[in-house]
Amino acid sequence: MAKKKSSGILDSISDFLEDAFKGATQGEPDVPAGGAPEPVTRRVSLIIHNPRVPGANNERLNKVLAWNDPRPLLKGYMDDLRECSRGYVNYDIVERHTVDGFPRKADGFVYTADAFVDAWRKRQGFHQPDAVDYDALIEEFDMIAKVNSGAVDEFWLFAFPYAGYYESIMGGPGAFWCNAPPLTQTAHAARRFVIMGFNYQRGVGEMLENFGHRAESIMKYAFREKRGNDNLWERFFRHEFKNPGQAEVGWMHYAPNSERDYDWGNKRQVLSRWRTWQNFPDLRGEAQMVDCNDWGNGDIRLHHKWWFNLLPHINGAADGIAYNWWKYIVDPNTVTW
Amino acid sequence: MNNSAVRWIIIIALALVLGLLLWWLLGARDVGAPGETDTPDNTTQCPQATPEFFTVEPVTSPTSELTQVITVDLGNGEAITVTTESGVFTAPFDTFPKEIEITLLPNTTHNLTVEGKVREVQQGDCTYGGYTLTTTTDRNGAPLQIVTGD
Repeated sequence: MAKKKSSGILDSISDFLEDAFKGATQGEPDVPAGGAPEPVTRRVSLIIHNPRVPGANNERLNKVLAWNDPRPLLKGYMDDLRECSRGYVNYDIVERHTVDGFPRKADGFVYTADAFVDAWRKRQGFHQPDAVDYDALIEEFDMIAKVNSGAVDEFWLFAFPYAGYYESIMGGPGAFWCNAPPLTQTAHAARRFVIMGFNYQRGVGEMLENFGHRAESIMKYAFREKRGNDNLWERFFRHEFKNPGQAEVGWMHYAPNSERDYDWGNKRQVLSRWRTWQNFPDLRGEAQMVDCNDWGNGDIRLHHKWWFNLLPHINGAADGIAYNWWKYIVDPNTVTW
Repeated sequence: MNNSAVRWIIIIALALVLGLLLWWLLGARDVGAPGETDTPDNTTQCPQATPEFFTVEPVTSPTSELTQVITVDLGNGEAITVTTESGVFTAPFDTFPKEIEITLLPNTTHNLTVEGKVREVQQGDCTYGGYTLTTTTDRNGAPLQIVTGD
């Protein structure tokens, strides 16, 4: 079962103390496992920076450089997350802005379209520091007011390479690391929110990876009080390279048998218990020999979908943590403070 | 037992409880979690990055030519290597995209493996790149296979 009591005197005392303080540190009452959670809909404000390029007949940047149309990417991303969460995660784009310009960098620099295209073609001359001015975006798109009114739950920025976006970043009261340092200047907002940063040069697989790193950050935080075997998140992301002989599912960059980052096509066989996560919270079962055939033979999108499919997604709770991890990942306000 | 002994027992017990509480709260363990960089103090958090883009244009097959140009693009690239039945071909990634001419054997099926070495860069306390991406398919997902005839 999911809740395995720790062994050893120190772990036992830890369990005792953890149980004693459970009411103060965690908010989920124990509920038996079973059934699918009610689907949720998250409202999205979509902001696409796709400037026109004067030196290329005023075509949009993505056309000039033969990059992707964001629309099919968005559809693939939303469809994949809905599918992998068994219908739980539904994103609704309630507003969309297509901006004919470049976002301002933190130091005030703004590209011109022709200069950016020239830099891309030479692969040099990109502005440093690269980071975008999040304060300017928050103000320009009135993000705090939209979060406070409930009109928008999260924001999706979509732009070109070197836009200076974090793949995800969190704002609001008690915001924490979300693959980026929190936007502490937004602590006055009524609730937490996430700003995603996507790149239309890339594909759906990379968008899923952005979401996956968000998931890793949030689940690490959700389990921050758990130690040893009680920390199921640490168990979930074990892989052979870091935990020899104890591989489970791995994380975004490491499949169970990966030997380096992004090594999703590795054919070597290792023992892994990833299949036991299909029966969560019953995690009993022997490790089996596995290789990249199980997660798409190196395809980034297939690996990430496989990984998301294994995230716990059912009703119930134990030890103060819900059995539906998607709940925390899509709404960081559900993570206890 | 005299009062002094009782007092010492209480002090020792309190110290033990306090120590256990600190151990529980701080819980120094090697979790090797995603998002942490393996620095000596294990405190640096670095944003995790997606791999650089890496694409190979479709190859021409079948062909009677005994050379072919392979077109590869790679984000922040350092070097490209093509390995196939006719040999190993390596070149610096110095044009965008990079065109590498490879030689082919007659009457042979060539299965290409293309590797792209990503340049290592330092951003503050965080290091990115320095890895090698590998593919055996073109940008459309088709195998990089070239069949030569007479």
